[in-house]
Amino acid sequence: MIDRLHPLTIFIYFLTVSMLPAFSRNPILHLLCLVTGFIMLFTWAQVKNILKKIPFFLLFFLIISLFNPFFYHNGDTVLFYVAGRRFSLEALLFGADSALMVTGVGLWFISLSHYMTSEKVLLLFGKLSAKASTIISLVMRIIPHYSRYIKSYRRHQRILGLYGDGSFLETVKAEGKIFAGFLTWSLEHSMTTADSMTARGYGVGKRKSFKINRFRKIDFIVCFLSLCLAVFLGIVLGMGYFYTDYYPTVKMPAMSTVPTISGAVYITISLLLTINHFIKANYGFSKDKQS
Amino acid sequence: MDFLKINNLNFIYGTLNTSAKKTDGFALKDINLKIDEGDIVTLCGPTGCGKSTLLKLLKAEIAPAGDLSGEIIFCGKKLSELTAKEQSKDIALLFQNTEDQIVTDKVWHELAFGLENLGFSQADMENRIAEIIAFFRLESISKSDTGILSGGQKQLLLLATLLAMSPKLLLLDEPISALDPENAEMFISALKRLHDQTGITIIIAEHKIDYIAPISDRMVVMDGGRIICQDKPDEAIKEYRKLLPPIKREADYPKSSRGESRREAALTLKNVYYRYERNSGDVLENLEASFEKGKCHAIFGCNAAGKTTLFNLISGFYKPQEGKIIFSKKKAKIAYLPQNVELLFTAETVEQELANVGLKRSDYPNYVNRLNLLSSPYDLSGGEKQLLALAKISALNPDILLMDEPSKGMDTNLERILQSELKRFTENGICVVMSTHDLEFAYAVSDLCSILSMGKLTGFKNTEEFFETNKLYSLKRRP
Repeated sequence: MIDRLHPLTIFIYFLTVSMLPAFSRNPILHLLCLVTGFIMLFTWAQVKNILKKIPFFLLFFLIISLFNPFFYHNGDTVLFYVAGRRFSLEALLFGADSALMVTGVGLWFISLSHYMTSEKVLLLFGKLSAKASTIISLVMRIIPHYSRYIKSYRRHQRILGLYGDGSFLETVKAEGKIFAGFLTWSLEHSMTTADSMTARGYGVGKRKSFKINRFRKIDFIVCFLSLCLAVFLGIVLGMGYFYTDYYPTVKMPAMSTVPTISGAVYITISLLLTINHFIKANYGFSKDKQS
Repeated sequence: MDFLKINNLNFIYGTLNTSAKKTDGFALKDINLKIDEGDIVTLCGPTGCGKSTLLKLLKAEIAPAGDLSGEIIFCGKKLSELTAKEQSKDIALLFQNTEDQIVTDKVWHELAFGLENLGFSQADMENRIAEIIAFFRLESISKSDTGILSGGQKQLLLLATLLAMSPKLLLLDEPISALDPENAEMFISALKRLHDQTGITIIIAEHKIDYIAPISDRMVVMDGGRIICQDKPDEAIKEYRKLLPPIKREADYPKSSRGESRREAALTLKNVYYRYERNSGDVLENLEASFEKGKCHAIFGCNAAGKTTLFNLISGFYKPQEGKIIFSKKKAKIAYLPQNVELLFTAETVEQELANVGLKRSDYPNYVNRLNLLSSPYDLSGGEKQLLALAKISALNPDILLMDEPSKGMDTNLERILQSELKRFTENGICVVMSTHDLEFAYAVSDLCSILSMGKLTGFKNTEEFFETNKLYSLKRRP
């Protein structure tokens, strides 16, 4: 299951699969990326919630598609004129392709942010630097704590009359005071946090990170396959098999053997974790509830 | 060899400090103390007596700056001669403010934090953390965010993180003063279990001595920076009570509600419902209550019973989803003393803080004399912050005064100040509503009492009647 993988694996896999197609302008690769990214959502989100989000993605897609032809006027096939400017089919198709790409990458990143919990991010950076991981952890803790505080700080100061008659000027002044007050409060309290860290030996010796995930065989396999895909697709793209151009007219590569095989390889690897997830998620579970 | 020995310790703060005023600058004077291995020793005394300062001086890395004379000998070595690693490993200190001591966002990471710093191996860390989780029964929260824990859980977690480093000496600075009785008992029982199991030496500074005395081997009573008595708990408590006599109910409160003059409601709640999320249960459910003018109402109830929610509704932070809140006076002015009184502070000094609500020096209430006007509000002790907040909100001349745990962090001397202020408020016709866990305090100051449970308030009863008829909500018999 994906959430049992090492964060480094998740990071490498998601980045490879989502970012590789972005190096070409080929709509077929972008479409594959979008479809596999969409299927990935089903590994963690409820079907109901995914369906609810579809109108949002369609709108997103439409806006990006239409953005291009309104600002770029190249392309031979003119569909109509808007305020005396050309609105060409090629620009529209290019816009649609960009939208396909952005939406596809977006879908993959939604899943990535679900699977990369703060703990996993921490583990990833803990490898690079134990200090960095402490700071990330501190920040992750402090942000919700601070936002809760500011919210009730505003409310209580309002009762104390800080906001005066509620006019714009008074509100601006009050917000300034709220900010200053919050700053003082947070500084005062961070002193205790610093003391608490010192008291527990922060900085006395070489720091080690406590890990709760380990790199397993499956992590090696997934990383290796991601790497293979990157190299393979990199070469294929570099050799121009997927070369696509939109201006002045649309040029698409012929459906020859190499692009077909490459597409198949991409689909296989980008569905790998999803399929693995569904197999693992459907057997081996006890019907009992944990007592 | 003595475990811990303090010889002729004197200490003067480097910076201006409120507590030092009455002791010629000395925060601690002629402290001589010997503590045997395996003892539980309680330091107690009025606010500002120096107990926290003494504790902090025992933890050299974070000791306050100032002039120190005399010596502290820990396990045969001068404290100042211990290496930084020895100090962080062997001496553990739990500070007063729970919230600020939590460093990381996950419970397991917090437990690992000290071990990571000391460079333990992965296998050692796993073993220690597993052991600590089992001992403190943290399994169900081990993977939670630290932010969602209750105050009691946070305090227990911090104790656990310190213990993971297996210290020889455990210093606790007011560990239960901010906890409600339920959590305080949970904490004390964990501490007792820990002591029985490991025989660790513990020094506790605390003024809720009713909880601590039964597990203490020795109590040290301090006043004005000096030790005035150290003895077995039974004897020391007598000295402590001389210094801080328990708060009493004044005789002129009416004994029963019968035959009283007509009541006048300041605030009425009718069929009020409130829940936080669409699919969660109701926190307040068909709540009905009437609060009277010129009376002090005490509301009891366990944690998460909805007391703070009720206050947030009355103060207008939330709107009731069904039902009505009716004020008898149009545009009734409400003042709200929250549990965390720092929410009321905006200025750099106590003086500015009071000036912000329009108080001139001549208008200061008497008790403001106890505060150092030039000090930052954040440098005051817990009880003193409470006093400053009280001065601020009483300057608003409210019609309705909401107080969430007003006696938090106060010793009985400060509680008496609060008592007389509350009396003044009610005599001026203010409707006071407070939520509290402190039954003794509520008995001493309130006119009417009620319990919030299952989203409803039980009908308000006259305080004397309430404490006579209720078996569980009754005053503890003191030793």
